Amino acid sequence: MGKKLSERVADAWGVPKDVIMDMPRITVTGDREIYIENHRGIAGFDENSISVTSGIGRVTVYGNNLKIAAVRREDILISGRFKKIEYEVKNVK
Amino acid sequence: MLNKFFKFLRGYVIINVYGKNAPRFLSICLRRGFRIYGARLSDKGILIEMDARDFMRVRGAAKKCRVKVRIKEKHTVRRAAYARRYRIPLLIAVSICVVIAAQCAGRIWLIEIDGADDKYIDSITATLDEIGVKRGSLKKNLPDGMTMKKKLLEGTDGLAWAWVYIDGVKARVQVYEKIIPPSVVDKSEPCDIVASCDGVVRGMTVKAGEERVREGDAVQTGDLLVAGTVSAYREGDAEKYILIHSIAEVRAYTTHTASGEYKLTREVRTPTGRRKRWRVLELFGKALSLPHGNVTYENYDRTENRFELNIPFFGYSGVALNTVEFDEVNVTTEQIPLETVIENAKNELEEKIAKELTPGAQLDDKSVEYEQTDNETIKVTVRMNFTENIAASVPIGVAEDKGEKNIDDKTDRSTAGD
Repeated sequence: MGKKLSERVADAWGVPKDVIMDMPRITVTGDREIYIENHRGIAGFDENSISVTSGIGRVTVYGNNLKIAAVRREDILISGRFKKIEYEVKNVK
Repeated sequence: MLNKFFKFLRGYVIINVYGKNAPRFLSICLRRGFRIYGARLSDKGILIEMDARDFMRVRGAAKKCRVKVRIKEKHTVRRAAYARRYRIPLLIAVSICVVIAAQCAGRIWLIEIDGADDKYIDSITATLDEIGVKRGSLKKNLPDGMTMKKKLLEGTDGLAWAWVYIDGVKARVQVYEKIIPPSVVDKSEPCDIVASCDGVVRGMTVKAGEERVREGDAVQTGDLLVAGTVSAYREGDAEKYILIHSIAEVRAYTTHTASGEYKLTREVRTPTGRRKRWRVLELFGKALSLPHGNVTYENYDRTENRFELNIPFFGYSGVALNTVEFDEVNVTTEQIPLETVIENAKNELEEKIAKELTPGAQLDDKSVEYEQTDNETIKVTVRMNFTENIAASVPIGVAEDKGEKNIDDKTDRSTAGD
């Protein structure tokens, strides 16, 4: 699969891809805290999972006692005990 | 903590959002720029912490997502004040505390003097009292810094510089002592030269005065070496003497001995891990001992710590916590090798001898002897021989003349001024 133009630009200029390609930046601290920047909203919220939509598709965090510790328009901090993070990447042509 | 404080100042509500589309409601709120502090699940829906002002605008989002929104809790300053409106005694007590704290904060409660020798402390304290820097005095009534400095320097002779720093309720007095220059030898003052210690004279260089000993003579401390009373004899005249300031260097072979008793064992203190703390709260100079148990340890090490509460942009608040820690220790004795004890003793005794020496003394030889006084103690003796200048000036008449001449018998004496 060929690279997108924005990806080529990011590679050539050494610019972070989350800035140019509208990708989420996900920072995981152990199994207790996940910080997602550049999200597009909350798609689902239940006891064992929180789904967040982003530029690359839906990112779902599975675990126990999950809660949104802080949320703003651009970033979200999820705390709890995580088991896995799943990406449902949308088809890109 | 700070976030919580600002959140409370702004005011926030915790709302319960019921319905299938609760996550969508949350997303819409975010997109519309509502300030949301956090979200968690509840039994029936999602609990969202939202800014109180933004809550007024959620109706549209709720209608769009078909969710029900109910307020669970309100947290605002106004609401907190309203809920506590009947607590008049508490309000009065808090007000009194604030007034007392404000009054106390305007006074000096602790005075520290840095850089002064103990002999100056009384004098400095008296001067500080005089200028009004004492416990309980109002800071606003203190004279300006230059006046305090002037008074301190006038009040105590040995000070070169002083300044009073006000740090919260603490007055820190920083002083520097004068460095007194060595006294200038008055060469117009007649003097004799005597032996500063016992020894055997090896050589003399006399620039002024009359020699009373020769090379090879054994002298004792205080013996006259060079006399400042010099005969000014002229043929045909009566015998006359003049008094001069003697100057000489007398090199002598001297012996210095030092001895001491030293233990062959040492105490080893091993902490057991048990510890007791005594705490004393200091409020504006008054010490309040907090409840504590007795220290029942047989052996313990005592450590004292002090924590002063400082307020940003103000300094020392007048509140301090003094902690005394008692750590239990097991005391055991350990044998020290004989060579180590002798080496340590030798170093200590050599240092002691070095303090007795005159400048420029040259070491000729030394010996170390020891004898065991009991099973645990030895007596170490260090003997060191030096060649050193033993000349010491004393006023005329103080020295004991060991020479053949006796100036006391002379009847006709005249001074250098005659």
